[in-house]
Amino acid sequence: MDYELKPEETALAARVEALLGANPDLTAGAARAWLARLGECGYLAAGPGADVARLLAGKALAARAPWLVFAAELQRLAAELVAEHGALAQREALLPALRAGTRVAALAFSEPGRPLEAGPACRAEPAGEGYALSGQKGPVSLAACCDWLAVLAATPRGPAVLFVERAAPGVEPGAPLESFGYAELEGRPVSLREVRVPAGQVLGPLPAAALPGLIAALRRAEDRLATAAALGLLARCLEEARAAASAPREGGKPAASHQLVRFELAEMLTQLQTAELLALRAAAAAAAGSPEAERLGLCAKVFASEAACRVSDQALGILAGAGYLRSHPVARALAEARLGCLAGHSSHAARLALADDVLARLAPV
Amino acid sequence: MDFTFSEEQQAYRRQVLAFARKEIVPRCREHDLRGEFDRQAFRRLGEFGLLGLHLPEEYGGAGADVVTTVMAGEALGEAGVDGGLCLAYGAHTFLCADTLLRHGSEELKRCLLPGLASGELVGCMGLTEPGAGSDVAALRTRAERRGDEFVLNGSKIFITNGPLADVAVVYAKTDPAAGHAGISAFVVERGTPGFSAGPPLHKLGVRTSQTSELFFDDCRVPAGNLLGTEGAGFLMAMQTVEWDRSALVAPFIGSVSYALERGARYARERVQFGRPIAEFEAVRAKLAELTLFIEAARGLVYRIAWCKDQGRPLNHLEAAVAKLFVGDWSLGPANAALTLFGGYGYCHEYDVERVFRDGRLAAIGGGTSEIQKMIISKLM
Ligand SMILES: Cc1cc2nc3c(=O)[nH]c(=O)nc-3n(C[C@H](O)[C@H](O)[C@H](O)COP(=O)(O)OP(=O)(O)OC[C@H]3O[C@@H](n4cnc5c(N)ncnc54)[C@H](O)[C@@H]3O)c2cc1C
Repeated sequence: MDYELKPEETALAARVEALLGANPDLTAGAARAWLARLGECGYLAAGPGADVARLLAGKALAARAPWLVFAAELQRLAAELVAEHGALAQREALLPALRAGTRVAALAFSEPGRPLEAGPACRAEPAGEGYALSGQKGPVSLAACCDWLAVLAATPRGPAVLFVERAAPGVEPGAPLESFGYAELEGRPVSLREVRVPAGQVLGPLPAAALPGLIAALRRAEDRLATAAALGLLARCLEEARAAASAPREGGKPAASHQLVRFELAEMLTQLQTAELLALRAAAAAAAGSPEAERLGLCAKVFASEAACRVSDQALGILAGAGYLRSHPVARALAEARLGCLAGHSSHAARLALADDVLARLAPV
Repeated sequence: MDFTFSEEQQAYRRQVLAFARKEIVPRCREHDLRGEFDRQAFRRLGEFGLLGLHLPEEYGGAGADVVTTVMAGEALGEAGVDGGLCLAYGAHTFLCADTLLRHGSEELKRCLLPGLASGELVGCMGLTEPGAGSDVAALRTRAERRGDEFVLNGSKIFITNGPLADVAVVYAKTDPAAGHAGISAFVVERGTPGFSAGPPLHKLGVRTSQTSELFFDDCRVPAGNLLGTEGAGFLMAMQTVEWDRSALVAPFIGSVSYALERGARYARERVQFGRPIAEFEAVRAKLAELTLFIEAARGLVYRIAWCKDQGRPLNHLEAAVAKLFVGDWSLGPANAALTLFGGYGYCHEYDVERVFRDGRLAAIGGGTSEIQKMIISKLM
């Protein structure tokens, strides 16, 4: 047992902190530049085994710009898909740019009104040396600023992930959807009409049985990013609430002079520390390939994302009117935290998965 | 970071589980229902080596590290040992014997620790008073030096093992004007004239531990029974906080694991509407609730144990966070466990009502949740 963080586990977060200090532009327009920076500092290439380092770096990033954790982790997932399913030539052609963040991949797996488990309705039919891709995808984050769309589609011989040039004829991103939070990701629907994709840009066709694996990979990536994002949101909300509570108020005492406010801060810190330790434990288990990794990962995701919802609400209670302004980090956090409970394994789905695990371990049939 | 237990620790945990399931757990329910202390089980804990697990071998202990010690406590709860026996063990070993080990004279240690480690003697710790609970500095029990003796006058309340104790570590004011700095600690042995205990109090839970008042009526103790130096008592009491936030709360976490295991089996067996209730999502969600609590709490509690093993000074903030979390966040899971069993959960035969009642103490004993919040908000 060792609760001490090692330098190799904290170094990536330190590099991310330095980048955040040097590059204050965290608006949607800076997405490409940021992915390139994250590539350069090693975040996008940090491989399996570096789970703790990635978690801490993700937390640091999320404390300032949670949407960047989404962008970075989805880019990482695109790279992982290439590494796992791509032929040698594809790996050589796609991976370096994805890991360096110099080319941006947007993940186009979801389809409007259709659960992922039902398989894609979007179809890629053989056409010449490649495929012709048609269907509706969305919401797709970063669809307007990416270079490639990594599109999950059905081919006659099984599912495939097609790396489609965003500028290719027939790719038609719609207007950004007005989401509750994470506006920077500019999630939007994308229509694909007879889009020609060369075979070299296609991972697959894969055996039909590979589809659950692809979906599981997406859910795992989303769970991880939701956990890291929640930790960042928790830390940010606590920081904002603490500062507001101790700030002098005109004609009165600071809010922290009230015991109820101080106790609320204590509860918030307790949730942050608990969520962080649980997430670190899950990351360490994942890095070690422990059989406990999946269960701990789900526990960490549920606890952290739900704690972020509670804590952002508590922070708003302390900040009151100031925090209610749409642009305030706490008002934003309230909306952003909520997505964490929906992304990947939703809180409901994760609880059922945890219960299945308990029943299988403790009361096998 | 590495959160795994060593092979030896895991093997020892399995031994504790097997021992407790075989020898202790079958006796727990009847003692709980009668509200009786199970002295035989207590002695068996001593014979197995648990009462002195962390004490040095020279005093009859096993010299185990803190993580192993905490893990053993968690395993007792997980096996199904009731909270009362776990509390009796905790107060005895960590609040009494450990204070004696750290601050007692060599003579006192040689005389008392082996008996405490074996369970031949029962120990208790008296800090709380009718007028001084959360506000420790308000305690009024007086200890006045007279020659080579101290004379104690006053009373204590809510003292675990009070009616049974052979050895009591008692906190009293040697300098009433000095606040915290005027508190000193003494060893008072059973049979000392002027020392007596009240009858056991009737409690909601932890019913097999005996809790009572202690009375000191011109009770004379030799000066050699002073622990450490005069005025150092408050610091000593604070040192027990490390144990309180780790070894004493670990059985509560274990008991939620016990409820989880029982709940999983019950959910499989109990059929309603033509199918096992495990098939209903609302029932499965309760199992998840318990799992979430267990995994979240473990990280916090073992952090304190690990830091203590490293010889680091206690981080009071982290300790309060662990206590607050276990105290407040175990209530929902304990309630969920009880609900899962329906009417059977409200009765005793599945033990979950006991887990529910016993667990309620975690947010009160050793400093209430409000006091933990006070500490956290002061230190953060
Ligand atoms: C079963 C059991 C076993 C015990 N064993 C022992 C033992 O072995 N040895 C021992 O010495 N003691 C023991 N105790 C005592 C225990 O530690 C105290 O009960 C506890 O510290 C609380 O003190 P109190 O009961 O006097 O409550 P009080 O201090 O009177 O508190 C009453 C309420 O007021 C709240 N409160 C108090 N101060 C504040 C504040 N500043 N801000 C906000 N809220 C506040 C508390 O949180 C609580 O909700 C035991 C208690 C029980 C129930």
